[in-house]
Amino acid sequence: MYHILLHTPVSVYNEDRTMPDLYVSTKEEKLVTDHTPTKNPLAAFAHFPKNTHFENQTNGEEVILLLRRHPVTNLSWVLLTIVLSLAPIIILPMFSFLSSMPINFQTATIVLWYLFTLAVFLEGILTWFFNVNIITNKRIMDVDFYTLIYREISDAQIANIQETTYKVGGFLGTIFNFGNVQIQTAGALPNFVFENVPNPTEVVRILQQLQKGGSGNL
Amino acid sequence: MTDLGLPIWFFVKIFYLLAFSVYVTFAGILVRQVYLMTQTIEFGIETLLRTFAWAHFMFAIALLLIALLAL
Repeated sequence: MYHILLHTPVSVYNEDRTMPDLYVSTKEEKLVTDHTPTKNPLAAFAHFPKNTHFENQTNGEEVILLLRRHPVTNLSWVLLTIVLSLAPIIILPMFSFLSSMPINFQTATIVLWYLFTLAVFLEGILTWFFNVNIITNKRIMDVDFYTLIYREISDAQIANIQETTYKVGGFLGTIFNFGNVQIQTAGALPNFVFENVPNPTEVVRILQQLQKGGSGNL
Repeated sequence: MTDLGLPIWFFVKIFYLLAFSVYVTFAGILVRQVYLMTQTIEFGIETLLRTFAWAHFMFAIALLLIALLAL
């Protein structure tokens, strides 16, 4: 069980509002997250995912959050796969020339069609599965696989994060609570955008918590 | 029959075999891609993914061979 505590000190100021006399740690310490590690390897929002490791992971570096695009964003290629799967049943009777082909060529045509459908499905699911955003106790990472053989991995230290904002918009985004988390980093470092991630509010909160307290209170 | 005395289905067969070969190439690239991806990030199901990628590749080769014999 992992806990992240949001410590909310209350300052008591002098009347002239210059220096605080004392800090009182109140019972307002809030439990931001109270969760067990996520065991499902297909989860789009995984707290402390089990068995998750990445290239160049340093000693003592722990994956706090693993994010993928919200499953509903896969709707386009899932629908395409369904349409392609059903197409031979609906379309074939319309093309009479196919029936004039020898039976082995007819079968080969249908097999090739379903291989193409399988290729669309495999590329869709692999792209979704391996395009991840990772938040560790030390840094954030963006892993992108653009094409079959091209990958881009960028990372930034938590200490270099300057500002985090999130944007939830659109019909599906509002209904299913997913959106973009934009992370501005210091200097010439590239900015990060975690696209269409589930529960962006929680992502920003965890990032802010890490910025404030480091890994000490995780 | 064509002008060269070859049946039209011969050329259609070549075209189909080429299409199956393209799929075998895709399956091969997929194996490479899965290896690259699982080296970059591990989720605990690498063996399953790699086995599936290889099985898919073998399946594609089997289909090419069947097409070679059946067409």
